Amino acid sequence: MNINKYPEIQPKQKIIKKIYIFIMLFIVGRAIEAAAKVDRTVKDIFNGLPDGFTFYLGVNPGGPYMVVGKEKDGTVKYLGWKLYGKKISLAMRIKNVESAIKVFTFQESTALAYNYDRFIVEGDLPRALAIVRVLDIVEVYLLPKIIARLAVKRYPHWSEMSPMIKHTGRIRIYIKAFTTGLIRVILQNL
Amino acid sequence: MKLFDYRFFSHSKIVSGSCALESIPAELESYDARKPLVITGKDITRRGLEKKLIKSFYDSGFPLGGIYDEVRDYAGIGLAQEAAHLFRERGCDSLISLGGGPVMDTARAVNILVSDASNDPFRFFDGTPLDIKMKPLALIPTCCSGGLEAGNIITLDNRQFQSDSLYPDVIILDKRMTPACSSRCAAESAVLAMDNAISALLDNKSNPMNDAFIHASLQFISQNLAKSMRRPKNKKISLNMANAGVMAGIAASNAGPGLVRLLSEELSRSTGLSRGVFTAMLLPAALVYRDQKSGSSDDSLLLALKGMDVFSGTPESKRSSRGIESALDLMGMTKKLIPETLAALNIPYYKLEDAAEKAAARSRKNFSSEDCLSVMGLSRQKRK
Repeated sequence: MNINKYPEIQPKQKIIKKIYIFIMLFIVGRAIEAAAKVDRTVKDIFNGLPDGFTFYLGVNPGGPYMVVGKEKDGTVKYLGWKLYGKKISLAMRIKNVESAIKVFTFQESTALAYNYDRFIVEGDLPRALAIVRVLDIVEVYLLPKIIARLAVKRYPHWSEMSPMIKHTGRIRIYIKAFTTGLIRVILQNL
Repeated sequence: MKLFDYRFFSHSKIVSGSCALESIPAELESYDARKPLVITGKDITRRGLEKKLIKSFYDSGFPLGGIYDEVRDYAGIGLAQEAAHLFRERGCDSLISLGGGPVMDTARAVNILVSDASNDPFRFFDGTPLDIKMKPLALIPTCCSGGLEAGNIITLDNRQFQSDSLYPDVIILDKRMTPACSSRCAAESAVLAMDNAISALLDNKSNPMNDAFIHASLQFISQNLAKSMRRPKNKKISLNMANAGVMAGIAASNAGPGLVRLLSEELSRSTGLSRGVFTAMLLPAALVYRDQKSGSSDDSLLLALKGMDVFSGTPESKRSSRGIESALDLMGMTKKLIPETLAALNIPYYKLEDAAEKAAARSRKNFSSEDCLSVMGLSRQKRK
């Protein structure tokens, strides 16, 4: 039998999809840091987490990742895209790139993706659900309503988040995400 | 009344829906496997389905040990030994079966060969218990299903045995793989699933767990059979039918072999025609014969096929006959695609007799060769 007739197949890479996910995770990570200063609910959720709590959201296998941590003084910081040298309390990994694309192109909400078993969570599950709530709030701020409705479990009614608060919060989050500490994060991760 | 002293076993994890193919590496990783060998057939590679599988492994970091695509309509030890040699040479640690019945049977035989040091899989067919640790095996059903891929039965060189170690570890139902190649193929797969489900439902060993699988399976079939024959390439419908097939296969593995399955296997072996054709002819006849012979009422078929509304709206005395009528109606949908009566095939009588005897011998005295001949006699008559 000639086994060369059935060659071994090495998997190729999906570079463009990975770059897209990397950019999305970078923006969301920076936005979480900003939202923890701007939005009261996000602030309260992080207050409920212990100091030194660090979590990452990423794609299996090999990334990209988004690492966010709560420092000892209570401030929330986006720590970049590298896992090396960080003590991770909670790991949330999407099982594969295609599932991640479904989440980050808003074909599926994070809650629905959990339901479809697209995530692997290592750590405390209630804390993972708290992080999912943070992600939902951040997406409401970052995205226009027509897209955000697809990305979150339930879009907040105006009585829960008035348009005034939403729009000013959105401007503040975008400004903070792309100004304060942006260079710091990039330099730390290079 | 259902017995509550029962045994039910279903080992496989079922992953169905979008991105199901992409989840294979993660599922294999959970079994500590990183290099699968793919077993498939020429008809699958001709349709380019293996390319979709290769693409789903992109970015996983898992290489494929090779794609062995020599399986056709028959699972034989020669093919299994070749694939096992390839498995060992490439240092693979798991198997993926991409295709229908013979492909899965070959994958099971390869699994036995690479997991067992004795290199003699036939000793298990002779009664030695299969108590070895098997390699992880993932099943990806495609069209032209044999009905029992998801179960625990292996057919190799026309010999069969059943063991719980033969269940696939993971079943991947992805709509990129399930569309049928033709309406006939869709009809035959559906008929085999129906036979598995109905035989398991009417089996003496039927139990509430098995019934849950059967009811869901029959519900999917009754909702999608006509559509699947009209639009065999429709992804959503074919995925529903594939789900029904998998559930029926698991249910059949937890029940005794039915008359229709054994008889159609024997007829298929002696004539070379597909088992789906014989099942489509024999199943309606077997239902009518069972009704005539036993005379006992069994209303579970009506409940499974028509649901609670129709079931509760039907008088108790008529539920059994309505159930059979519903099943016959459903089978009647395949009339245009599959020959309707056994007479149309012109099979010599001695072959029918021989098949009846062999089927009765394999049935562990559940039915006699006279029962088989009576069913074949009924299936020679044209259905109304």
